[in-house]
Amino acid sequence: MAKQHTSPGHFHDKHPHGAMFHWWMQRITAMVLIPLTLWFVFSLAGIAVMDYTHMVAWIRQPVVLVLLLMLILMTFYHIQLGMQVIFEDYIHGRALRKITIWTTNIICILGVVIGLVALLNIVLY
Amino acid sequence: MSSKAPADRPLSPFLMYRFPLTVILSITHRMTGVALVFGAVLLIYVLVALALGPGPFGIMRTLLGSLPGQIILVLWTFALSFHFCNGIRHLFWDLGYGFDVGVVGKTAVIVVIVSVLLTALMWGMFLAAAVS
Repeated sequence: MAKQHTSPGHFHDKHPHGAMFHWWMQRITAMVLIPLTLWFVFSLAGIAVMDYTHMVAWIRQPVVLVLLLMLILMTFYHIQLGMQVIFEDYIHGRALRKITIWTTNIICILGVVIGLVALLNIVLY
Repeated sequence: MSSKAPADRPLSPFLMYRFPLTVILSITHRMTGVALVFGAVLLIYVLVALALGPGPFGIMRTLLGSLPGQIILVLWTFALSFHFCNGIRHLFWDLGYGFDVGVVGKTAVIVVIVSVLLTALMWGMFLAAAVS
């Protein structure tokens, strides 16, 4: 594992922030996700039984909207960071490693954008 | 030497090795992490269904309410509980706590028990909300 992380052509060699930034952001997103996840999961019991109008009304509350946006943003950032580490540890071919990491990046960006658009749709229309 | 019973000779690690709980938790943390990617995609799907209107919302409801949907949701709540608890364990390690051999094993057991309890608590709440 140590050999991989120092091998030439490793993702972080060209990454503008480097491995330390990655390591810190993984921890920071994890810590931010602790209260967000608790809030979300324990709200779920109430939300799951709501009908369409009630659920829309729930999301339209400013506090709920902001927390949901934070949850989506932090979750997909955390996913990007975590999946990158997994691919770097298990995929040894440089090309395939790059493809898998960038596929994850695109999925995460799409997740955030689609989630954001959906939330704005719910709130504005 | 050769007349001695084979038991005196060291066994190959392949023959005697059993994964300790700590090792199983380590790989489970990654596996639940990957599983939770699908959970995050599911959350986005729910929001999209809600944005599209009552029709797609109803379809989403039916899908998640079906038996496969409920199984996926149970697996999701467990994966989330586990990754949450073991993630906190990882954060304590990052701070330099809980690294001693005895402690690592104990916190591993705690993580398993608490994540099962959390899953049960969540479903207790869901069922209570559904009944009322």
